[in-house]
Amino acid sequence: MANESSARSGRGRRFGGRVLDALPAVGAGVLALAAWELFVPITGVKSYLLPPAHSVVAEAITDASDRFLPASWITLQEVLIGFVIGCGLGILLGILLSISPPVERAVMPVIAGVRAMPALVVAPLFVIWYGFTLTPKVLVAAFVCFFPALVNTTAGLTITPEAERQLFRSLGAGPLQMYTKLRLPAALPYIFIGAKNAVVLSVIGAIVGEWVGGGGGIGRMMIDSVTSNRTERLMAAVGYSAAMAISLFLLVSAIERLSLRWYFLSRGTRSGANAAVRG
Amino acid sequence: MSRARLANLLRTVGGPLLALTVLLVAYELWRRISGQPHFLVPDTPDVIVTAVVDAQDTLWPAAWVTLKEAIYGLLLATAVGWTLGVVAQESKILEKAVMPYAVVSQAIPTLAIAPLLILWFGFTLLPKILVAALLCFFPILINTHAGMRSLESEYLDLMYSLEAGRWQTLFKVRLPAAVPFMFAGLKNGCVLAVVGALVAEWVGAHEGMGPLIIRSLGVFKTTIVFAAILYLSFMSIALFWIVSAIERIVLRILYGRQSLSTAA
Repeated sequence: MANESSARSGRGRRFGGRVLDALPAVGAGVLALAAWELFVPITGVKSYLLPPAHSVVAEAITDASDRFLPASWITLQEVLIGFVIGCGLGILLGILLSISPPVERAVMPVIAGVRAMPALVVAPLFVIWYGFTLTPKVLVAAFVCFFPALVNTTAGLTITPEAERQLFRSLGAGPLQMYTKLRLPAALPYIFIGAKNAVVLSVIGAIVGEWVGGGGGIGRMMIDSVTSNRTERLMAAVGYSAAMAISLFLLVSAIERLSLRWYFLSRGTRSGANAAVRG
Repeated sequence: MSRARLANLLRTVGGPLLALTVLLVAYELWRRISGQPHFLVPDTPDVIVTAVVDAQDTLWPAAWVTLKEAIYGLLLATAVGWTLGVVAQESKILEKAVMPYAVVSQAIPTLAIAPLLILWFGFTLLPKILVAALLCFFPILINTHAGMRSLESEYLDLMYSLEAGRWQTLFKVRLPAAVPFMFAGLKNGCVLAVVGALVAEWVGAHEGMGPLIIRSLGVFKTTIVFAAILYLSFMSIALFWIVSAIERIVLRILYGRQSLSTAA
């Protein structure tokens, strides 16, 4: 990472510089934690409203094997199955659409329009159709990550740089070569942006599915903790869900980095720089 | 020129409507093929009739509650997100303290904080507004920040060579260049605000679209649920339109007519 960015910017950034860079963020985090720890004894706020930070961490550790890990495992299953189905179908449909440019042009506004719709509203429907089983949560997770995957795949496949297109044409590349050697590889960075987006969304989808439709996962645990005023457990559960999402995000990023070596070498940018998409 | 504008307008207005129509048609087809019972999978005309007939008594009052939460949340997130995005460009230490968290937030299910906010603030409007705001805050912040940095260095060099001060550079060059990005974030936020308000209502609320959906499901009034989904879709589409319209006006003031098609 560091080598790539310094290779591009031309000014070498040594380890010390990176530590200095991270200092404000770490400082802000530590300050926030300290403020939370101090806030509780100073204001005397009831612990069922805001437990001190250390007791949340204690709860997260002591109850891990009894409670949090089994619940997380249920949610993780929903997330993974949902992600594979939703993201897979999204990418597949995006690729299928791109084979025929007229069809793609016709479908693009529809796909763009879908982005203006709140996908999570379908959660209660899936629950009433498929009951309090694993299926509705998997479907919610799949549904919410389908559209980002599709949108990014389509976007990636349409914006192949013109100069490279011409180069391929002048070298006598056929349509199939054009597709597999140029358009698809050029689209991969975008597809991965979509996949990273989608994996976080599928965690949200599974959790919201559990909020609406019960079951035994980490989302259900949050609701139970609210109704029984167990704030420590609630906050620990939120922490577990965040950890799950971050791990999955990092996992997809790692796959991205492994399969897109050429891209990161040539661009010298981090994938985070692509996070902001002009809509 | 005018064709480009027309195409642009069609894309903004027509896209979501077209998407909704396609989804409805796909749903209707699927319904006929799957042959599910009517109380589980109501047919489309029934849903549309319900959406109109029950509007006055049940749907609109509930929709209004959710819409209010979404709008307040969106306004709050915009105010904080735009300000912070601009200030983060001007103050490097703030940028380094805040932006890493903004990036990390994209890998975190921020919605999961909804139960906590419900627990703190009860079944009132406030937690829903906060969830809606939180959900659209980070995209708005990230886009604004990206917009503030979007400027090519030639412009900055030019301003420097003209001995423009920091504020002049900010207001004459950086901010105008960031506006399309700021609106892009805001347009993303429209859907997220509605989702945030709705999901927070599912966690704990007495009134609004969330409780209406859950109650109707309990008694298998699926037509109401579908009508509610239609309302919610229109809600976020309408917000999207309004923001797009404001964006066009602002861009016209900033850039003049001719660059509209490229800027938007």
